[in-house]
Amino acid sequence: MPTEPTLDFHALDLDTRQASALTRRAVAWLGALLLLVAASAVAMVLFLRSEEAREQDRRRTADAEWLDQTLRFHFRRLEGDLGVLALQARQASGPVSAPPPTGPWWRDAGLVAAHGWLPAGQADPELWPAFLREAAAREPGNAAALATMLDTTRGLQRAAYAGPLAAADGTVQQLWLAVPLFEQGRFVGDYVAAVPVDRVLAGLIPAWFLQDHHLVLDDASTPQAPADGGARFLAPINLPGAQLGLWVEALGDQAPLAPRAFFAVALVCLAGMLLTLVALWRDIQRRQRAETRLQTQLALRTAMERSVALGLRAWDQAGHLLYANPAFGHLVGWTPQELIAHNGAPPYWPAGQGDEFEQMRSQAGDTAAPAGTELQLQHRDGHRLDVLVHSAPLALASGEVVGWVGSALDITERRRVERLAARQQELLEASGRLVAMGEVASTLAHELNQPLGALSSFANGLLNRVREQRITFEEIVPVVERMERMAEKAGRVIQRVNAFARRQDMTRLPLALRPFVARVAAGAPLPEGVALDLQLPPGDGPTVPADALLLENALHNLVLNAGEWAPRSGRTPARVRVDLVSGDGQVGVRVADSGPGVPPQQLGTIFDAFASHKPGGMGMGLAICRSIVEAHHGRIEVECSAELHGAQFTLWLPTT
Amino acid sequence: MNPTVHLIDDDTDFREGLAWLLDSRGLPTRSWTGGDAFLQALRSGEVPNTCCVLLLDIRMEPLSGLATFEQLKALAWPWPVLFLTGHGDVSMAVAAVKNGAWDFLEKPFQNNLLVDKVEAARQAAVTLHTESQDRLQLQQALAALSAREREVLAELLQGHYNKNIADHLGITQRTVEFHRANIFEKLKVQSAVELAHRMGRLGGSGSGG
Repeated sequence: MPTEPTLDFHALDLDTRQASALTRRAVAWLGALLLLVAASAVAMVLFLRSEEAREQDRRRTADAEWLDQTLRFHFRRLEGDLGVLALQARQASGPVSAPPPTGPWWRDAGLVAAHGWLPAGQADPELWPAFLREAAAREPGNAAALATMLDTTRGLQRAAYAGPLAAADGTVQQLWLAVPLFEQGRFVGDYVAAVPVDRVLAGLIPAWFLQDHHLVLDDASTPQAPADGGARFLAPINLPGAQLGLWVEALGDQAPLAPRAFFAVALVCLAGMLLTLVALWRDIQRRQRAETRLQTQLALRTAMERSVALGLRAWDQAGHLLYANPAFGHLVGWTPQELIAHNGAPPYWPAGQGDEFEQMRSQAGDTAAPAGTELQLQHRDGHRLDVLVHSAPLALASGEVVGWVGSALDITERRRVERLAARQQELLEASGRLVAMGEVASTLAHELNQPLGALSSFANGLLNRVREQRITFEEIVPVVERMERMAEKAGRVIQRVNAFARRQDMTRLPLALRPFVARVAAGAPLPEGVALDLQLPPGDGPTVPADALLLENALHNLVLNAGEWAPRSGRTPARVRVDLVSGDGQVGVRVADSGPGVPPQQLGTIFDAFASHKPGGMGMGLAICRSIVEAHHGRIEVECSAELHGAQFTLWLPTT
Repeated sequence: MNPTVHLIDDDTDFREGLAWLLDSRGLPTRSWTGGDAFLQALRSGEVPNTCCVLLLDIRMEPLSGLATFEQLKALAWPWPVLFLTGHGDVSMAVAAVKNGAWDFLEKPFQNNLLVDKVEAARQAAVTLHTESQDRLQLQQALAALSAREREVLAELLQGHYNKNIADHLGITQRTVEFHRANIFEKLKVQSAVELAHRMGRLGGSGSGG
């Protein structure tokens, strides 16, 4: 069995209110979810911010420590270098002459602004070397700071720092460093060096750090707020004796990108969700409106369908009944449910009408028959119904045919009325024929009067003359001959009456048509110049049950009639042709002539009594012919002869 | 006086048979194939409008018997007309008789009865003819009377005696008697009673038309 999508007609009956309630609940849940998502987004933002702040703190601490350690590491190395220089200066007992040591401090010329040996004896500021004195003279506190540094080195026997002190031009801050030298526990002197802080920061701090950070020395000239408004922090450098602090300003956005990116993606997702939700909401609204309209339509359709007396059914592609309306159920006496649940041939379908579905489908495809098909259905109680059925394919919008719909209109009553009307019409015609028969009788009486009256007159006149012996024998003969002719004429009228009257007690016996037709046609007197053309099959030909006398009368009449009309068209030779034709269960005796034919306006009335179109005709011949043929359950037909171009009458007689 | 019988019927056999019958009884006949043929002959003067009898078939083509009769009436035909009717035409024939036809004969008829009826019609025709002749004579006689004689005649018809007439007219009784004798002679009567009778029978209808 094919698995086509079947139509779910029950879907049409779904309670749409329940559906809309479901939708509302779903939307409420969705809204709650949305709120939750929004709240979590806010929480996430807060968390992210606090996390970022903490992370910043942590990094600042790390940065400060790293800065401290780096600088201290460098300065310790400088201390070492200065120690070496101090030794060299002690041995040389003079100012620096040896080449400076290698290392980061000495690679760059300006990193150590000045350095020199200060022997123990020159501790007094008056005895200091020139570069020391210059530095001491530059600021009021410088001398004291330097003296303290020198004292510290001597007292604590380790390196000491001072500064940062303003340099000669007043802008460059210099850090002073003194490394003591002891020989056998005795202080022999200090090696002093001045380092410009900004150069140290530029030269010794790695470039990768400086890319992201701007370092500013902490002194009185340092602005309280950073110039670019960014965050900054103070990193203290722990050098003994020195008051060194560095402001570190983060350059650019230092915040970590990944969480923000994740957050942004989440936000975008959320926004998308919101948009989707809005779209969904609008869609639902639209659907609900459409649903309401559909409901109204459906209610209308249902009401219409219930109100009509037209039976409706629907089938799927395989021919299963999907649907039947109550009117159809009422029509056939089964409930629609029973019909749909029924398997096999439909119970309302009487046997012998073929397959219902096939018929319906072929009719639906046949656009030439919009008038429908008349069929019979069987009611549950057994009686038959006449119905007029129409059908149409059930096509989706795409044009795909998924089933078939058929309607059935009960026309039993109409048929009954039609039959009644036909019967009435028959009765009417029969009584009309009775009336006609009365008129026939009257006409025949008149027809008889004429020859009989004349006959009587001749007889009386003759009698009078014979009595008075006023007449000779020679004069008598033509009169009597004339009387004989008139008696014959009267006799023919009587014959016609007989043919009419005998209809009551006709006897139909098997009659071989060929010899019969040959005899009757040859026996009919034709006018001079009219040829009889007999075209009959060999042998006895077909046999029909017929009253030979009546049939002879009818055929005789037709041949006479044809003979009279044949010469009137002027076509020569004037001919009358008689032949036999066979049809479906019937045999036709055909009489054609070469006359002018029957005018179309007379075709309808030509068989009526007194409808003669022949001068002097009584209009009885064809009426009698029809009566006779109808008494044989046959019919008479008139048309235009195809070969002789005149009238052609056919007596159709049933063979059984 | 032997009035002719005119036979008008479109059926040859019937017409000739009837003619043969009437002829055997010594009646003069003349046959016509239809009403129109007879009317044409009458108008052209071929058939004189003299004393005769008409036998007219009711059912004829193209001019029916009744239509022929109507046309004859329009010509002021005075002579008797007998209709020959078939079955079913009797009512028509009765109407025709009421309309002034002499009689009708229903087919099939007994031949002698037919001949008798024709004879009766012929007699009637003769009477009619005679009456019309008398009336003509009387009118001629009346026209021949003098003015004084007409005054005397009017007084006589009112039943006055001679003496009274003389008083009314202012003449002598003798003069009245003279006029009276003249009147009797001119009108061919023997007495005053006969005069009144004759005047009543013919004069009224004569002046009335």
